Amino acid sequence: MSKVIKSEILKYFSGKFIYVLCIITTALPLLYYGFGYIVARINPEQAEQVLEGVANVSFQEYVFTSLIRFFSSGDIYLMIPILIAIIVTEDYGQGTIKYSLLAVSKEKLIMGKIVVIALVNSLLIACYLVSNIIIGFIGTQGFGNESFLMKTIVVLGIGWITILGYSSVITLVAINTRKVAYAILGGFGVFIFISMLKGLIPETIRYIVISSNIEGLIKMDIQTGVRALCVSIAYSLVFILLSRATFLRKEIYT
Amino acid sequence: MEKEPILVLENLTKKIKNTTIIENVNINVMKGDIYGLVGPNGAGKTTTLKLILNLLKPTSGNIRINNVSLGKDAEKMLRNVGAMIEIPKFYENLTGRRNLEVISELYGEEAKKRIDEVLTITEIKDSQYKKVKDYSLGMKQRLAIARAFIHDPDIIILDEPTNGLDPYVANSIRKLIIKLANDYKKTFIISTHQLSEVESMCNRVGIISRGRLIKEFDMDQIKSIKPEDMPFEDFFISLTAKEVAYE
Repeated sequence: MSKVIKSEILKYFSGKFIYVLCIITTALPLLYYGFGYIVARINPEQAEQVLEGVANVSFQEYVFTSLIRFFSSGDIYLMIPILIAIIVTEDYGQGTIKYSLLAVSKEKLIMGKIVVIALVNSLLIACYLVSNIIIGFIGTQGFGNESFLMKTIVVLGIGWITILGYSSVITLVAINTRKVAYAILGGFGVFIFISMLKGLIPETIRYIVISSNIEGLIKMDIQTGVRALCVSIAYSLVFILLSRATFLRKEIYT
Repeated sequence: MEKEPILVLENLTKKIKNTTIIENVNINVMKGDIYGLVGPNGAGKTTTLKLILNLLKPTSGNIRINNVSLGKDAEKMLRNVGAMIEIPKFYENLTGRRNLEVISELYGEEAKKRIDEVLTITEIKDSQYKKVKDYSLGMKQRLAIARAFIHDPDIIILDEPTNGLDPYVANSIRKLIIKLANDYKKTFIISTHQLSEVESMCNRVGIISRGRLIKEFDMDQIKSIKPEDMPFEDFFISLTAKEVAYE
């Protein structure tokens, strides 16, 4: 499978697409903060409102809480469908995938693609983290006395698996789609559905919806953490296996 | 010395939903053959090639490569096959060379070492650093042949390799195929609906129509019985017209 991973990395890192996603992920928080800063300068009475979450917390707490926001409903949930549409659907839709399938099995190819998606997810998370470290340095009130390092690492770990679970759901959608645009729309549809579900189903069973447990991590109680971890692992395993099974059965007509 | 079969299709049938696309096709391709699969559009040529390449699963029948069934060992068997199916498709935003690097990464070190040689043989070395989106169709066909040839397979399958090309470029592609067959001892299976292509390249030819293989010829056999004053195309059509069904 290492050959597939190397080949996919060579393919997608030779173009601009992944770099554009990284730039967007890094730039968006900076732009939000920059915009808030400008508004605060023009209307000082709105400063507290627009710079809420930055001005009144320590650097460590800011990085921790911004990661929780990112993993619960951040821009990454909209970027992943685009990423997966390019890595999975475009390769199938434009017919280039058949040449890879002469060299490696379907199983190795789909698992290799999922590994590359997970690697790019890690890169996007790193970009967001860097961006928020920069904002934290500029905008917060000192480094802070309370250590948030362990909490931040826990959120990063659980968040990473949550994003993998979400990516696995989107991969299944992308495998069943021939056109990039439909795959992206399908992915956005999944995101909207998940967001609606969080608001619609009773609180007692809401934890079964992926990403719904992330906000609870702010309290850092063990039960919420374990629940978030288990739900994310379950989504990842189930949807990776479903994606694999669907792809193995798929005939290549394009 | 009798040639050995390198590719055998036995009673190959493919149905999609209730429509029969290919029905009981039997073909033996011998080592060193340039086998032409001829038929009108929609006859089932591309489907047959996709079945050989394991991109589609046969409804029934068997495919053997080097006398081994294309079953669970498909991955290993297909590493001995190179292909260009339909219009050549590439990662358009990458250079020609990078496209070959991406595919050779899957085949391993030997394929990676062959990139320069293959670019030279297919005469696209000068354009290797151009993005594929800037290639002409003829250059893309050459790059597609380079990709099919990169891992030094014994069998190369080309689906309408000169489709859409002007006569000069088409001629140069035919010469390239003949060169690869003669100099590198490759076996080719070429689907086409151009009889001039069959005449200039193939030593054996199978006629496919409405999913059935209706006739197989040795080209020497055809040439020996063809009246001297009759063009090849007219003679070939006179031999097969009754069986070939056009929509």
